[in-house]
Amino acid sequence: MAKFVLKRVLALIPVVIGISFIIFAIMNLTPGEPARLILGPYASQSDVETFNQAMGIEGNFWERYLNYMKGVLTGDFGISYRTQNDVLAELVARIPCTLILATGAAAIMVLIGIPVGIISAIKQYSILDYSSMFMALLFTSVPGFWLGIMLMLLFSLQLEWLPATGVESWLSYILPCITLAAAFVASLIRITRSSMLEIIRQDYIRTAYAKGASEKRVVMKHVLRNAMLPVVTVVGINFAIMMGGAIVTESVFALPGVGTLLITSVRMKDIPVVMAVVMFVAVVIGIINLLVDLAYAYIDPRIKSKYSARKR
Amino acid sequence: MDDRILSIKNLHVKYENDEMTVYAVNGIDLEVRRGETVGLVGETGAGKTTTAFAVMGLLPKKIGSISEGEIILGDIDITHATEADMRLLRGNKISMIFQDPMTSLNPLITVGDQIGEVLELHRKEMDKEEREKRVDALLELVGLPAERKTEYPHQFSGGMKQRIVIAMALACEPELLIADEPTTALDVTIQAQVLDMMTGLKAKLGTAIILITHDLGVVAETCDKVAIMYAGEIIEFGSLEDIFAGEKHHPYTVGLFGSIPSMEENVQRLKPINGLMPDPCNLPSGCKFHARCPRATEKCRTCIPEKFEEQGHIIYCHLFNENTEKEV
Amino acid sequence: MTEVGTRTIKKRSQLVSVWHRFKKNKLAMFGLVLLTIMLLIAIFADVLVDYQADVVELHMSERLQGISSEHWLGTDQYGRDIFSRLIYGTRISLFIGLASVCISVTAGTIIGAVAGYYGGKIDNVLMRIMDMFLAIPQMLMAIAIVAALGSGITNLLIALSIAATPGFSRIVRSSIMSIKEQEFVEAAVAYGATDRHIILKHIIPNAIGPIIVQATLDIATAILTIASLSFIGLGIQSPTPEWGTILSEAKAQMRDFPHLIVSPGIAIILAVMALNLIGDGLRDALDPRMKN
Repeated sequence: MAKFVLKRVLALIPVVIGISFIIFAIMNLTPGEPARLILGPYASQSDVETFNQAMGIEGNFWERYLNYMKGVLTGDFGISYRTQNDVLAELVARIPCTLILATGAAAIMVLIGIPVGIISAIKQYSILDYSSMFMALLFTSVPGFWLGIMLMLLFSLQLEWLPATGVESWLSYILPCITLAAAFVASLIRITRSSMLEIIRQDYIRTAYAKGASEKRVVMKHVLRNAMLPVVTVVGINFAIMMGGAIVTESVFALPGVGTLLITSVRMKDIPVVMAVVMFVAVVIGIINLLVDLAYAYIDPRIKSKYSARKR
Repeated sequence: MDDRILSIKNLHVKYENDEMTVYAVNGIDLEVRRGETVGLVGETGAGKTTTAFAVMGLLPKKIGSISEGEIILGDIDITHATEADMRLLRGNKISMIFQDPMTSLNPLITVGDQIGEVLELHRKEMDKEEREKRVDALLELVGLPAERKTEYPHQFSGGMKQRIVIAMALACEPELLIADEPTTALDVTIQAQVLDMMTGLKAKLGTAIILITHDLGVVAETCDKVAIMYAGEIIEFGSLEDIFAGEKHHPYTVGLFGSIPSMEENVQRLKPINGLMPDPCNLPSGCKFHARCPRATEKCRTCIPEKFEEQGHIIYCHLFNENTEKEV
Repeated sequence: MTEVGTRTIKKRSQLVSVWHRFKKNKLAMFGLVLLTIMLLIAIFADVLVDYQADVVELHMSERLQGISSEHWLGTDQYGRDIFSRLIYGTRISLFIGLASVCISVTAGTIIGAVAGYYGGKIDNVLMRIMDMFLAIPQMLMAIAIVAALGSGITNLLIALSIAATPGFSRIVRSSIMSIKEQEFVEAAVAYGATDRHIILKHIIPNAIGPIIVQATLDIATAILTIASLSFIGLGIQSPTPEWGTILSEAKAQMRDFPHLIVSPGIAIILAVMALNLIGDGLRDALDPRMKN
């Protein structure tokens, strides 16, 4: 098992290198010089040169990429073109906000999505089922930023219960978490429902009924655990996307998270920051995928024995 | 004392959805006595499995229903039993073995726990230790080492899985065991092992068995009585001798056998039965077999044949009602 | 001759039965009607409203009006009629959504088909590259590309297409891998058909189901992404009347004129919902087994 984990972690390295290269290329080979964007259109040529020198922007594309990667290997992610601060420090400062947001949203997603999906499957074709499927459809179709604004209108401006933007206290996270969760709760309801329905059809469920088990027992003991496999995957993927892609939500509520850091940096071509954010996201997603696989092994003995067999 | 364990009277089962109604079982009568093995034989779609599900009370909800008739198990009519009552019977007084052992076991639960679950449900007086002991004994009964109870289904072969399913079905020493093609999914060599084991256990525990199969070889080896099903009806019923050595047969049975071993030696091997089973949504009038029957007459097309009975050997065919002297 | 005859009949009857099953699905039909209406609006947008006068020209004297018979949904802070802007926005969202999905479906199908059909090294290299793209969320990728290229419809189109291609190549590859093993493809190989023939005549027609379903759902995603990007200022810029752009401008007035926020959101919801309903309906119709 340990070997499996190690192998997966090592497999992450080429992916992160590939990603870093793709992003570095996109940022460097497109029009728009960082110095011009940051210093403004009226900066003199010598100002631009001084800036480039200070930031270490020199040599051709390949030299710059290799230099950058050399720095990364020694833990030096460079300094931000925009703020002149250490990139790693800037990134680390933004992580807690995004982490709270993603965790809160994931909790809402799981607490609503899984139970609703289960009830929907057990009571298939009932009013409950139809209304939860409608809810899922609605949530997939509502743009997150619009929902965010509507919630803000209602709870912050009209009722004045919750702060609208920024971070004042934990209350500031409530609306963003709901907004972020809404987009993902739909996919979780759907996958939970369809996975449950798939399992209910299996022969071993009939076996369980033939033993004399009640519906409640069959669902709790036999259906749920089997149905959880795809659900775990979707929870993992959704959480990963929340960690790396809460950009719109963070932007609507003006939260100081990784997403807003990315937007400001990407606009200013603050390449070191963009690179660090993207690599951070790739690593987080890789780790979450690994955790999902480990959860699989925990749930399903067939997968567990496959991993152990690989070890031998 | 009456030794009838199960009696089915005029059972009708249909499946309904918005688009169509499937008449799966159309008025069958069947009795099973203590310790005997009754073979239920017929082509796919004849209504064998539906009959079994009706007895187990496991017809698919909302779609399948018993529209007429009764199923008396011991002294209760289970067509009127509540779901809670049925739960007490299932796995306890009656149990079932399914066709495909590969998919009949929950992949995430150890086999020991899956066998133990039956005891947990029906032998509430047992404590955990007693249950474990019983699971060990059951595994050994079906020829598996008790240590393997902590393993998961994927660690067993198909034949072993079927043994586990059988152990599960026998856990509470049921009066009636329904085996739905228990060997179809297994290798030929394993088939014989599993059948031998079932016959042996029947003798040991005195359990009655309904064996659903389309394999006449299996029937000859294991059954005491045989019911031949066609399009949701039992068209012939008799002892093993009646069916395999009797002189009178329903033309369908004749067709099913290809040629009956006891018939005069010079009779040629009969051709396979032409045509297909009738559409269960739109059953033909008269005898349901008439379209495929080589001996069908005008009467067969219009009139439903009466029961013909001779010392417990039952046939539903106009051939015998019209002129019992006529040779088949 | 007879073989060809039965093949076409079989194909047509398959299409007919898919349509029959689709037709029975009331929600999917509702989605189809809704989308058809929106497509008609998109096509005839310039007949319905005057782009210069109603959509982009500023009328400062009429700014921030409420709902009236003249301005059905009111006017924005520059006095432009919201209803007219939404009508034109339909054209932009549907056009970019459709076009980007067409591009990514084509690119994804080619990459996925080549990888899945040839397997081995080619498959390995192509899929590793696709995996790198898939290692970061689609939205983030689109943002990086559009930010680097600059805003505007063409750049947005490029960004969306690139971001969605890897996902498609995965779907196509996996359906091809499963079809490849089936007997009719083996038979085609046995009678000496060329690779190109097998891919075009046998594999793609059989993989088309999941591709169409995914494409429909992806247009919906693309419309949401376009609106999101425009909303955060990285997509289409005002005065072009994109729904997200209209919302972004309305947000500035939300304290005093909240009604401006509602209508663009509903326009987006209707378009996305119609596409989702159609996609789900198609999935059920193509694979009736999945229902129940």
